[in-house]
Amino acid sequence: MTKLFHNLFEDGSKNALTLGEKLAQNGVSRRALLKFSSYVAALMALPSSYTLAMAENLTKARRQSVIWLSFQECTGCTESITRSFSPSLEDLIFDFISLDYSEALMSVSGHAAEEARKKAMEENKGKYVLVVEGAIPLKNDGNYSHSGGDSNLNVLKECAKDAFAIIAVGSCSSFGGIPAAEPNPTGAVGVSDIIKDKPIINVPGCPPIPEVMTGTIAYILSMGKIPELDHLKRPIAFYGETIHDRCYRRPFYEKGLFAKTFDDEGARRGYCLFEVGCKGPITYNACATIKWNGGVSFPIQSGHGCLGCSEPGFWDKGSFYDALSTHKGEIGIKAAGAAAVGVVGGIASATILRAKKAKAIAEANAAQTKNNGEG
Amino acid sequence: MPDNRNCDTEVKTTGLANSIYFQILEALKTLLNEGKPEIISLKTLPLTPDDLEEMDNFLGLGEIEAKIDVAGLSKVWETKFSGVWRVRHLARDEKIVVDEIVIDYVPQILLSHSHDIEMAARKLDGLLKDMPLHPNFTNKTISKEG
Repeated sequence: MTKLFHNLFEDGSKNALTLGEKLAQNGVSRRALLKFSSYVAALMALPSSYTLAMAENLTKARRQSVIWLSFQECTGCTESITRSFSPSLEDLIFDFISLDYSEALMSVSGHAAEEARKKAMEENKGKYVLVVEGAIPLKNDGNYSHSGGDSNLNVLKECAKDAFAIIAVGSCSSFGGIPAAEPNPTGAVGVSDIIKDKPIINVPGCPPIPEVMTGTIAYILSMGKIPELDHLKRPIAFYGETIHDRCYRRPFYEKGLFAKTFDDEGARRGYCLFEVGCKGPITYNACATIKWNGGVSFPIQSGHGCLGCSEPGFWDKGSFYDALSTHKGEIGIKAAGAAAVGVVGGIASATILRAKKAKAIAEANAAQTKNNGEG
Repeated sequence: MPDNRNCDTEVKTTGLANSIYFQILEALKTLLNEGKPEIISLKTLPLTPDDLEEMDNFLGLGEIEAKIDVAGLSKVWETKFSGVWRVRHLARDEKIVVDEIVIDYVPQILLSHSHDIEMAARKLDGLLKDMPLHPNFTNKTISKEG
C-alpha cells in the first residue's frame, strides 16, 4: 500500500520510462511481466496467445495515470482492492499505474489534493483512466454530496470530459446501488446515467472482487483498449457466466437436491441453496471461480446463498432469503419453472441463461463494433 | 444444534478432472501437428481440492522441476507426460495466484527473454573489463578499450 501513497506525488520524469525499462532498472527480469500477464490472462480467461502479447505490450507501456473519485459510497470498494491477497503480483499493477488522485488513500487534503487532480488531468489529457466509486445524487442539483467545494455531479462531468475511459467500480457507481434503494431520497444514479459520450466499464459488486478490479485495469493497460463488455457494460471475462453456472453445488441442483433451511440435513450435506434464497442463477459474477480472500471461499461455499449484489436493483428485489421462484417479477417467473422440478428445472434454467448470455454477447459485440466505427 | 460449518462435506470430486485429461490429449495432438501450445487455467474451473489432488496424482511428476524467484515464487514441473507441464505462480504470502497446465515444449516462463540476455551481455562485458585477467590468458578478440 505504501506504493499507492508514493505514486501520488512521484517525480513526473520517472513516468517517461517504459515499464520494461523501469523493471530493468530495478534488476527485475521480463519474467515478472510474463508472470503478471499469465495472471491477468488466467483471470480474464484469455487465450494463451494473449499472454505473450500482453507481456510485450507491458514492456513498451508507460505508467497509466488513474484518477479515483469517491462519491456516495461506503469505501467498501477501496477496502476490497486494498485487501488483495496476492501482494507480489498485485503490487506490480501499482508499479504500472500512477494513482494521481484518491480521496480515500492520499495523505494530502484540501486545495493541494484538488491541485493534484487538476494537474494530472492536464498532463494526461485524453489518456487518463477515471475510476468512480459511489453513486451520484441528482436531486436538488446534486447538492446532497459535495467534496472540494463542488458537487459530485460537477466533479464527475469535469473529470469525465478528458478521460480515456471510465471504470465504475461497485454497484453504486454502476447502477446506483444502496444509495438508490427505495425511496432513493437523493436521486442517486450510476455513472452511465450521466455520462453518455465516453467508454464506460461497469465493475459491479458490493464490493467487487479485488482481482476483477485490478484485472480490468491491467487489461486496459496491457491491451490499450477496453475489454469486451456485456449489455450492462460489464467485462464478459468476469461477468459472462452466472454464479450458478460455475457453482460447485450445481450437481445437487441438477439432481433436485436442495437445503430447505440453513440447519437441515440438506444444508449439512452441502445441497443447493436455491430454496433458501440463493440468487446465483440470475447473478453474473466470478465469485464461484476467483472466489474471495485470495481464493479461500465465497458465500455459497460458506453456506449462505448469493445475494445477487452485482445485478442492478438487487437492493430492492425483496428478501435475500426468498427463493427466486417465489418472486412475482419477471425473473421469478423465469426461475420458477427451473426450481419446481429439479433436473428438468435445471435444464430449463440453463436454457434461459444461455439465451440471456448469447443475447448479452451479441449486444456487447454490436456495441463494440459501433464504438470501433465511431473511434 | 447441528454443526453445518463444514457444509460441503459431501462434495468430494466432481468428475471434472476426467474432462481435463481429454482436453490435454487434444492439446498434445495439436502441439505435435501444428506446433500450437495451450494453457489450461485451473483457477477458472470449479474444481474441488479433491479434484485437483486426483488430477495431480494422475499426471504425476516427470523429470524436470524448477523454481523461479520473481514477483513471488513460481514452481514449474513436467508431469510424467512429456510436454505436459504444471505451472504454479505463488504470491509472497504463498497463496496460489496462477495455477495452470501448460502443453508446450518448454513453458515460456522458463525461457530467457532476449532483452534480459542483452542486459546480461552488457553486464558481463562491464565486469570483464574491470576484472584483472590471468597473465596466461590471451584472447585477442577482447579489447579492454571495447
